[in-house]
Amino acid sequence: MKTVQTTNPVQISVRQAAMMLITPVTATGHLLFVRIVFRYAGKDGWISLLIALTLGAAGLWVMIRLLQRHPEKNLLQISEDLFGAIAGRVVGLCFVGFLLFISAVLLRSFGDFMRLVMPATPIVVLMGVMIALAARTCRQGLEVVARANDILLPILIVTGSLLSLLVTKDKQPRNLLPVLEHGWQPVLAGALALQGLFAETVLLGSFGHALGKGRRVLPRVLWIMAILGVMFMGPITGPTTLFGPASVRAMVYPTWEEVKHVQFADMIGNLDVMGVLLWTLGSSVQSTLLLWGTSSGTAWLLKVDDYRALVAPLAIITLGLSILVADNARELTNFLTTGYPLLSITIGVLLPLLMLVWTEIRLLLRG
Amino acid sequence: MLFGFLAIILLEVPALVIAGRKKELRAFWLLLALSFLFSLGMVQRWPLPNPTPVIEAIFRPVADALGLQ
Repeated sequence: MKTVQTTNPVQISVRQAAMMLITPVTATGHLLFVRIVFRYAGKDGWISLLIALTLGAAGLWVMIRLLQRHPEKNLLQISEDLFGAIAGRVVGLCFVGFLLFISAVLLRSFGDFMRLVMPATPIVVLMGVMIALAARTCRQGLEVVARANDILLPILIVTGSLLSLLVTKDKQPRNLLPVLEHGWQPVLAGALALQGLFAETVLLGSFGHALGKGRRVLPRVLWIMAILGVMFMGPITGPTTLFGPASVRAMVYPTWEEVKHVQFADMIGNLDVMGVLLWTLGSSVQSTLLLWGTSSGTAWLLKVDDYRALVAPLAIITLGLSILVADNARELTNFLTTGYPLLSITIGVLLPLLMLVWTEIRLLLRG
Repeated sequence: MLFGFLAIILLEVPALVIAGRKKELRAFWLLLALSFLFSLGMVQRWPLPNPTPVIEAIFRPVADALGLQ
């Protein structure tokens, strides 16, 4: 007899929940958002990052505080508690639809990147393999994903840091000067565009009840943001210091170009495959988590106890949607630069903020 | 495509039937029908609804005002 995997809280620790937030944000960020920041802020991208992390910390604090106010409940259950059976399910549908959509968008971005590496392979095959792997892992349960991520995230951090260190000798910090050459507007636009990074915060609403345990929310938020800051500062400053701001603006994947540049002691070189490996690992965890969020959320909407039966059909829908979302890579980049960050802020920050405010008002009214 | 769907049915349905999970079975068939129609639409190039232009149209005024272009 198979065990029943319900939509009720899963058994993961605070550390695992935090790590599962860091991996997808890092994978998306290095692959996609570094170039978007360069597009707006250029060499001042690091200032955009600092502002974005502050805004992201506020969003994360809202989400954890909301989970803390509703112990042992996920975001969907909280929305039903707050807004009633019908309106709550409509809000829940927004969250699930959002997860399905960003899952498709990010899968497509991964496919576009992989086509550079394997141009002869059709994109649908590249994305199909990734989503099939995600579906297989997703069916094993979130606890298994968390344990796999325990192994993968340190590999990502150590390998990424080593690759960054190997090009240090060629970096010219002077390329970052003068600071704020074009004023604050491009920097603020870059910071806003970077908010798309934190779209996965909604996922935290599904599995992050562990982060809501205990009283000290702020230190946890600051720790997560500090780790993200360390992991992004290198990729955001690295390409500029290495190639110069003008060259970086023209690059599609600046961090990958940096990895391709690694040459050490005439022995170590051609490490671009390491970059592909890192992004594939990160994207696989990300796809699995998003598929888990979509499947468990859909199970809740359809009042089904076991989400696993829904994984395969939802994986097919995600794959189809990923082909449909954009005609080509340029169109997708334009969407990631304009609509996507605002959608992320609306569903990932403003909607949970509204729910938190409503929770506090209800608590006040009840005395 | 048909073989893929058949494989999914063979993998999922017998276990659900044996366990007597009627709700899961109903939800599975519903989503599988949706995903089949969606896939067929992709293959046959039907004009399927794409959420991206709708989202862009909703956020375009805000994006323009904030300098996101």
